[in-house]
Amino acid sequence: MPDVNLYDDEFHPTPWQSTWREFKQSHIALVGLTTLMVFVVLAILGPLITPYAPDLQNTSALILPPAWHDNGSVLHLLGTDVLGRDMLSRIFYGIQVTFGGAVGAVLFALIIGTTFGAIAGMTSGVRSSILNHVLDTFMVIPSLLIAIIIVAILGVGLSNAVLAIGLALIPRFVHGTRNFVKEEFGKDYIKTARLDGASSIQIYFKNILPNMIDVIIVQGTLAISVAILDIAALGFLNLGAQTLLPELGVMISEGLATAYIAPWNILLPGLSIFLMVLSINVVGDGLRSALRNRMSQ
Amino acid sequence: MLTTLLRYFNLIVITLFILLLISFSLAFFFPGEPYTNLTGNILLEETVGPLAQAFREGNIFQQFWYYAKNLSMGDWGVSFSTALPLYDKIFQTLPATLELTFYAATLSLFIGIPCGMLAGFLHHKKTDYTFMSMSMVMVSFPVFWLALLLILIFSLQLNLLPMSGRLSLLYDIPETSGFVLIDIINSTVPYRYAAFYDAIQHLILPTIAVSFITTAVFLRTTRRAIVDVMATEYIKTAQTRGLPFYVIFSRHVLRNAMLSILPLFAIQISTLVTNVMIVETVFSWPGIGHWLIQAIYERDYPAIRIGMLLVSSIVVFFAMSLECISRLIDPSRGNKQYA
Amino acid sequence: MSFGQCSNNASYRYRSLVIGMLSLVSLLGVAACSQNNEKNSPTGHSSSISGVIYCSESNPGFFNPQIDTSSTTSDASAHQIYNRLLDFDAQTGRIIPGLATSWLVSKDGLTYTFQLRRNVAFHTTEYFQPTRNFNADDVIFSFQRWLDESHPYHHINGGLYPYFDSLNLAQTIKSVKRINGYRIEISLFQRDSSFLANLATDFAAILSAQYAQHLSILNKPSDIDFLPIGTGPYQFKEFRKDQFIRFTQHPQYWQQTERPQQLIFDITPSSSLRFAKLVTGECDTIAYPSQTEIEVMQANPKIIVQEAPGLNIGFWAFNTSKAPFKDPKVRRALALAIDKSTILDAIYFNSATRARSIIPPASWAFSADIPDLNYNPVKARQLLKEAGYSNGFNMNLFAMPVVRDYNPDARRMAELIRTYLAEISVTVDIQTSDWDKFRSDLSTGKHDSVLIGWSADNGDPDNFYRPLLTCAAIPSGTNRAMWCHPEFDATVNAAIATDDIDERKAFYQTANEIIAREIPLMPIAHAYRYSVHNDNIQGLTINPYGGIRFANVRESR
Repeated sequence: MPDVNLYDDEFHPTPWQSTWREFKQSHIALVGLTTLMVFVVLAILGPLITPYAPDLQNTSALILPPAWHDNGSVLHLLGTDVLGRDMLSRIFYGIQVTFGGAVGAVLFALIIGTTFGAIAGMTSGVRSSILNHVLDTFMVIPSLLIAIIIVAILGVGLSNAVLAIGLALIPRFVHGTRNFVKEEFGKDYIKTARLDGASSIQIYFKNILPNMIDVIIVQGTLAISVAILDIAALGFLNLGAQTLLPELGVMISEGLATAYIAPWNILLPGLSIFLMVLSINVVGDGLRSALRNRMSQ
Repeated sequence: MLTTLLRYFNLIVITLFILLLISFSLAFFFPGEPYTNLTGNILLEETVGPLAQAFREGNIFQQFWYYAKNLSMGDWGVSFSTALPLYDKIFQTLPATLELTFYAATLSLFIGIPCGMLAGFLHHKKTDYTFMSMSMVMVSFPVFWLALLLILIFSLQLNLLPMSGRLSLLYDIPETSGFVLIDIINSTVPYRYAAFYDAIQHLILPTIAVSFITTAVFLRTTRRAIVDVMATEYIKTAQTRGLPFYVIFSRHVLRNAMLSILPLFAIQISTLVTNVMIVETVFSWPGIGHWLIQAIYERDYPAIRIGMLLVSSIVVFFAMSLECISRLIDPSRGNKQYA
Repeated sequence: MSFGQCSNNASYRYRSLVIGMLSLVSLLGVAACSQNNEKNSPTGHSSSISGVIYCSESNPGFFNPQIDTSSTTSDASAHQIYNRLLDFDAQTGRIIPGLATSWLVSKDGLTYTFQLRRNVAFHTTEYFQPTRNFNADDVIFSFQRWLDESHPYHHINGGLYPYFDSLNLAQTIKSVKRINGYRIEISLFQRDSSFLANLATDFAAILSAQYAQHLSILNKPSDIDFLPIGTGPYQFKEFRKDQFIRFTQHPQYWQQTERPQQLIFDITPSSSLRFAKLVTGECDTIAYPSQTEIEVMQANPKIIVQEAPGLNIGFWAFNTSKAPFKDPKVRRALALAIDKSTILDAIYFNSATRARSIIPPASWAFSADIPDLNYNPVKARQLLKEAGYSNGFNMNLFAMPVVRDYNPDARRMAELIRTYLAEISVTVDIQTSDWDKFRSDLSTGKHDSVLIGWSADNGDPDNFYRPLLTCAAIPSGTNRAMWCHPEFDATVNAAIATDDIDERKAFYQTANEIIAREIPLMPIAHAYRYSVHNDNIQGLTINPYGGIRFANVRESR
């Protein structure tokens, strides 16, 4: 039966466009995306717009409450800490450090993990099955333990913490990629390509990788939220970023000394971490639903 | 069934061996003398023992062999900072961590799974959305910040609950098992009831802090499993055939959903352990996490090495047992993949 | 997954998310609100067991103040486990009888005779059961241990008796003789008007000779300082490092006071955590509250804050045995480069008075005529140039890692000093480590300068001058400036050779002038002493000299 087409051109949305359309349907996901964009902008540009340097000690304005309190002042919108450093500036810098570190760790884990996962997915046999099980069990080792070991060997510091978190995230990517690759290899269109004479590597790059991007993105957003929480936790424990760096977890640990008198020193950095992670989780969730819905059409 | 058991047993042994190798090699990676990192003692000319001998004259295989032998005999070395045997210290602190982990896991299971099931059945209804948003919020909390918030609100502001330790120091309870509630019940002191009440008070905030996040994860996992199972063809068939909901639920949905959840819970163990370790530090809870983190501040390498070996062995053991059990119950599990 | 579109339910999700966030924000609002609405009673211990919990700041090194001058050791042992021959009255500071009921001093000041108290029982514990009461043998043992180098217990646990060594008491005391079971006689080589005061300090604890014998037989002599036995109000039960010390009441204590059944030291190194535990009631009283916390505590009706001027001095000492600190010009230049008033504001928060000499205004030897060094970086630079250091130099600054009355935050003070010294081209490397390593580094002279201080052990001014700056105090480790000045030593010795207060005051004035001229150390501040506790205990007073006393503490519920 003829399709009455009133328009001259047809609109076939690309996979990206249809994902975006699905994504847009959920208001919450959009709110999350906006928040996330705000944080990304802050992470990149924040240090340029802060009113003060993050380690400038203003000894005449110690432990000032935020501006909406009686004793607060507009000069320090979010108050100051025990050394007189402006909280707003520190939080902006902290967002850059924490977020940036998390992205770094995830990129590291992503590149290594997907490579290994693809290789593991393409091989098969008893050897690979044992390897897979061993990899699975290493996924179970707590990230904090890995961080402790790396810190014990290499010493404290933000870069070592990022390395440790990256190492702890690798198994996730290996697992996800391996499962995906294995599943895809069993599908018909791969078999067709193989019959055409394509080698495994060619199949991987031309056919599987484009399809895998969805999986990677979803896993990546989840991994970033985990990485942010872990980097902040390591900073809080003084195993990652040290007290000279304005990292959000370190700020919370410093705020402990005046927790009762100045709780905003703990609340505000923690709130930033919370909102960052929440927005990433919401966006990731929205992406996952959008992808799922798109697939089902 | 026997083959599966055997296979998993093999896997556990292999993994534990790899962990042992790693802990041995750590002694070489850590700064300082490897012998000192392994035992906590300094290798002098007069030091006796096959391990010392192996380090003086033997090769690396002999060193590893004697190290493993020492471990199996209970000689786990001494700590750098206190010069006390590590074996005793670990068995003093391990029960505290196990306690907290157990209570938090139980709480999470009891709240997370039923709510998750409810959300799964009322899929896309109001209840579902409430649970989903709540759990999304709960999962985004940094666990140390949550612990600090609980302390700020319940201990410092409202003065309802204590913020540090397992038991008020006034109660001198002799340690029999290391688990504080059991010790109190076993003891004969006159203030048992007050001590028990006090111990429960000390348990509440740390348990909530740890289980907050895990409950949310269990909730979401259960919900997803229920939703997926409900979508399968045979459930729809059962529904169209007019079977009462209760029958469908107990006979089909429950079993299948549980099967897919178990391995995912195994992965949650590592998050649970990490969160327990962090919460222990915030609440000064005298467990292995607190001790291990103190050890790294003091660069106590023998303690770090043995702590890491022990914690990862326990975690791996539990996770693999869970996988083994789920594989035994549903032999076809290996073919299904869940993200 | 094919359950259809979710678009029309998005508003539900949105609403529930908003509700979730609102409740979260209101929770935060509750927490961020004013902190002083304490309406509920603090959580605490049930009334079925009585005890007092004290949050202390670190582990004691030993349980015997004879061998350690650290105030943590004194707090844990001096007034809890032990008694002394004499004591200081907490209110007036006068010397009152302790284990000695009366004493006689000969006309020439060289012979002291003490009558000892009867019916004083030692502790009975799981590890030792005494069979006799306190008598002269115990006093002889306690003295001979540090007086006599050949005594079997002299070298147990180190062989160092820092307080007595710094006073050179081993050279001052000729003999300690037993007249009969309850009378002893101490002979000196020369007059010492501070002798009685020194016998009343924390360090002159009386141990049990019978216990020492018992341990020798068991071949475990070092236990005497780790499993202590004394005559004091509390006996030792258990010590778990970094966690707690448990004492129980000594039922046969010779002074009838109301004491709780248990005394617990909850070891909490973090000052803010101690403060939090005080607020929640997990500790009844705490050690070394920080100044910012004190202001909050004063506003809290459930916490009682007591303040008294302290007999202490916080100072910056230069290692005068090393160049360039051998040159007084360099020391003066460094002292002129610092603005003391900023340090007083930023570190002490107005809880201290500015110091111009090592002796505080609360002591009778204080005189206001000492010139004070004001902030003068220009003169500092000029002096440095004269000394030949116009390009400045590098130095290290050891900052105390522990909190004390006389210096609540040495680390921050060091950072402030570093900023000031940078302006006269002196670069400072701040060093700090854990307390034990810190002290051992100081004793080997690794430091160029150190931020440290001194709290008086008794009311006699000699207690400041002698241990801090005399030659004999260098080997015993209390003279951190490593300064040996014969004229100063002679002045200080002359001051204890007479009993006339005015004469002594004149000598101390001379000593102050020598210090102000040579500047082996720069005095910074005399801090107030604070004692804070919950309103459910009574009887805790500020001990003007020495460690905390719990003998008269009562719970009131």
